[in-house]
Amino acid sequence: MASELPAVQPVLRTFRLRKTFDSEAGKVRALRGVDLELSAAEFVAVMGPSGSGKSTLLNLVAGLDTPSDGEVVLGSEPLGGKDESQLAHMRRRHIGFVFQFFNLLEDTSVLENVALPAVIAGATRARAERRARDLLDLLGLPNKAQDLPGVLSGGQRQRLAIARALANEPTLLLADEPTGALDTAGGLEVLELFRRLHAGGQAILLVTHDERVAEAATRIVRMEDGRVVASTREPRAVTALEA
Amino acid sequence: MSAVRIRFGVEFRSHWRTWLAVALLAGLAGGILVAVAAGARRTDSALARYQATYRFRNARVWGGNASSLVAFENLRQVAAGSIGADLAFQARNGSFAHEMSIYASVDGHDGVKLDRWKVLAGRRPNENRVDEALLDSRAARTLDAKPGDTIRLSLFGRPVPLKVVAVVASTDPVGNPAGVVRLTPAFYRTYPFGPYADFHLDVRLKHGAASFPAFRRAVDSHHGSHGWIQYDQLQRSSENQSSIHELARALWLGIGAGTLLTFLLLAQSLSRLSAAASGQYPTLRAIGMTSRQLVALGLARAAALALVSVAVAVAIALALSPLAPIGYARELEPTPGFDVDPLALGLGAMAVLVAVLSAGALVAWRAAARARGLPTAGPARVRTADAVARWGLPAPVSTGVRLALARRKGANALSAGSAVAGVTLAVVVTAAALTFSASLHHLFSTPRLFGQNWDYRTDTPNEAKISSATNDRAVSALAIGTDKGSVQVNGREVGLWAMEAFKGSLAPTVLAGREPREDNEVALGTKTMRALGVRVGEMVGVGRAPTNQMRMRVVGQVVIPSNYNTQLGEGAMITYRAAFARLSIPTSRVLLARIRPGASQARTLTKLEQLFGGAASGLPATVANFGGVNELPAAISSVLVAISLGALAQALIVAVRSRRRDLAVLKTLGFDRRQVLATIVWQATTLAAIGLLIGVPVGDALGRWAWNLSAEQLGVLPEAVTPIPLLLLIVPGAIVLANVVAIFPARIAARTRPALVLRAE
Repeated sequence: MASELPAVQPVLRTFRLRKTFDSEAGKVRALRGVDLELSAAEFVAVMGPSGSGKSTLLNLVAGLDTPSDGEVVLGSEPLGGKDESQLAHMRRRHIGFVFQFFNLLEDTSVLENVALPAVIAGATRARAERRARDLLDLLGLPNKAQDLPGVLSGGQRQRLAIARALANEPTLLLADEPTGALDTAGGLEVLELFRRLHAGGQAILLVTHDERVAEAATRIVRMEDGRVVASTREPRAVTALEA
Repeated sequence: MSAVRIRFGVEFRSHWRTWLAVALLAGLAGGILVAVAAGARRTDSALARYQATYRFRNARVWGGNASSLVAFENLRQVAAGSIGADLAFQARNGSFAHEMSIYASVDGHDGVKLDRWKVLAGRRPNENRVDEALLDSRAARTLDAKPGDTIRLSLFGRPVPLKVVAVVASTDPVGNPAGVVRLTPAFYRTYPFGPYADFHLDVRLKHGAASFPAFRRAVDSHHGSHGWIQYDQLQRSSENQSSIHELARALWLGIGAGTLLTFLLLAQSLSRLSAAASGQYPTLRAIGMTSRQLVALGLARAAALALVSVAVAVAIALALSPLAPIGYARELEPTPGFDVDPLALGLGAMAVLVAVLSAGALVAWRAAARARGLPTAGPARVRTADAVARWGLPAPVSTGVRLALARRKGANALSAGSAVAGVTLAVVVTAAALTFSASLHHLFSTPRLFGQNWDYRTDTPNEAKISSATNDRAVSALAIGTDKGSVQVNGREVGLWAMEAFKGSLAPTVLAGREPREDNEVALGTKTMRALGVRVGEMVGVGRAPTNQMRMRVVGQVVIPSNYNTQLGEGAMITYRAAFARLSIPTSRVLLARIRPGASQARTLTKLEQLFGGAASGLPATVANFGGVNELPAAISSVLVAISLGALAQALIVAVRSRRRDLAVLKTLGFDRRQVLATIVWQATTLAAIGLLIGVPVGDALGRWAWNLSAEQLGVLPEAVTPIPLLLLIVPGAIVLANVVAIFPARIAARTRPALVLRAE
């Protein structure tokens, strides 16, 4: 499913990543030198309390924001020095993004939501639609193609968001609290999906503050005050969430 | 209410700059509209105020000689009179002769006792100087002369140089479309005119127009032997006033459309303010504020803005007042410069206050309803955008179409709706203005529409030379008769048209029925028929006095060209024999000739001019004066286009702000800067396309309707034309303008920072 990269090459590396925001109260140092590496087919969960810099890290990796210092390398492509358009083109090829609150285009059909990233990336309409239908089948939404997202349940909406994120077969799937807005059943549904995607070879970087979600990952990176404080390989069964 | 006051204070401290900007915007737009309204009133009233200020004549009486007119001057109704000698000669500018009124004052009373001059340039003439001339503005324009220049009159074949010492306001452009040249009493005394002068007495009556009936009876008792009344002030004023009124009416139409657009713009602006403030409404409700208090908060905000807007509007209206009156009325204005019109300012200020308050109330109510959680429609499918996507058009196209057509909720619904309405209204007005202007130009270039189907007219037909003219193959029609006299039809005095054809036919344009062939037949102008309440086939009394009427059948409805006593749409046409043999109408003769199509116009006119004097015929004064309206629709539509572009820009900015989450998502999905720019451009293009689809046909229909109405009031043949190429030009024009306007909001959209927006959301 993921784009082909040499097996030895990590899909993501960050080097001494720093990000400082200006606020009314003064400067806020959201990231204070984060080094992270994620290899192909790895499923990493980033954990930490609110304000630890998890979402900032995700935004920098996606090229949605620029670091104050340090470097992000996706595959073999450093993001530093790229302008806005080049970053957009990079996102089309390498990144799929799943948000906590879905961020679906509400007046656009389910099918169109999924097809749109491929169309943006330059795929023909027919090809984009074919790929979108395949993904909807894969994610259990085949009969919802012509509906508007508003009629879907929370779990279905997040599955739709995941389908959209996978439209361009991204190198790396980024997920920011993907179960945060879901009930238990919906959360399980989505975690199961991530597990299946990972099993299929998809590299995933997931941000959460929920231990039970993080346990679905193959590695957990813990952050505090903008720093990585621990990185542990402790895969657990997804079913832990059911306990 | 203290909660409202506290919250109002918080909002004011946070947003006072934005509030001030909106108040200034509303004040500016309102001020312009109030200024236009005051300008329309000032324009409409300029003639009446001029006549009162400059002691304009109440009537003109023609007589055989100067001494016979003195008897009328001594009638007890007369407060002041002046006698002038109309000279049947030509004013020349280079080789071209102009048909203008040239008269010499006999007694030196004009300009002093009555018909005082409003001197636009130069000084009053020295009445003892033979060589000083005064021109009205029309004559100055016709002769391209100014004070200090020398003009030449052709007197008995020899040129007489005269020094122009003053240019004064033209008081009767309908009667004297080419203008008036006024010479001194010394000039009159110096040259022996003999039969080449017609004498007139202008009078100002003791009780103004109220004295006219008694004055008329006194003059009529001497009728035929001494003189006849050519016109009274009311009649001539109404003719001159009608062209001014058309301008004022066009201004009022502009005000109507402008008010609508301004209200939309205002509602948009207040929506933005409300949207900024109402984000806190759910919280405010949660801590106990009621819906009524939230509405009161919105109203307080609107009231604060309204007070500032009213003050700004009044200041702007006063500042713009020197720009009025417009058109011909401007040179008549007795007190040019700043003007305070208490009625216009008072009502205008009230209108601005009501508009801001009502727009504010509407927005406040909607914001409170949203905070109350009233059910609102969810996002709806945008089928057009779906279709565009299915056609495989680039993503920015379908996204832009979707942004333009998606049903919005809350404040944004008002913005989207007002943007479409604003663009549509601007296109409607522009299309209507183009159709109206094209129809007006069609009228100018089609003399048959205003009943003028001749090329040459002279007041001095020399019957001995008629055969020379009729034998000329280049002359296709020639007639002699009158278009200067007047008759009474069922007691109503109207201009007379009676011609005897010597070659071909020069009958006016027939709208219904036919032209009169028998002595007991009459054809009437549209307005005259309407005023008399008669139709073709009915009988009317026609005569030179109420006591001397001849029964005639109305056989046709015709367009009688305006001239002297006849305003377009008015008048009576009878046979030459009926006019001169049966009714003995006291009037002088004119000669009309038409040049054969294909013959040399210039050469034939020169030949006719050498035979008879006179000059080529131009547009009738009423039509020419109506031409002053020509530029006004374009000016008004330009203003409305500017306002609607503002509304469109505002709507796009609002849309960008309200859709910033979607734009951020699209950027996350890979939209680059260029694609975001293109999306907003397509959104503007879609809004413009909707405006064009509705606006062009509606505007054309409106323009045709307005033209037909105006043509009917002018008394010309209503023949509207649709300028298809010009209307089609609106399409690229509107799209280009919409795209230019979209650049700024598009740049805002392109700067959307997804990380920031999605985190805030």
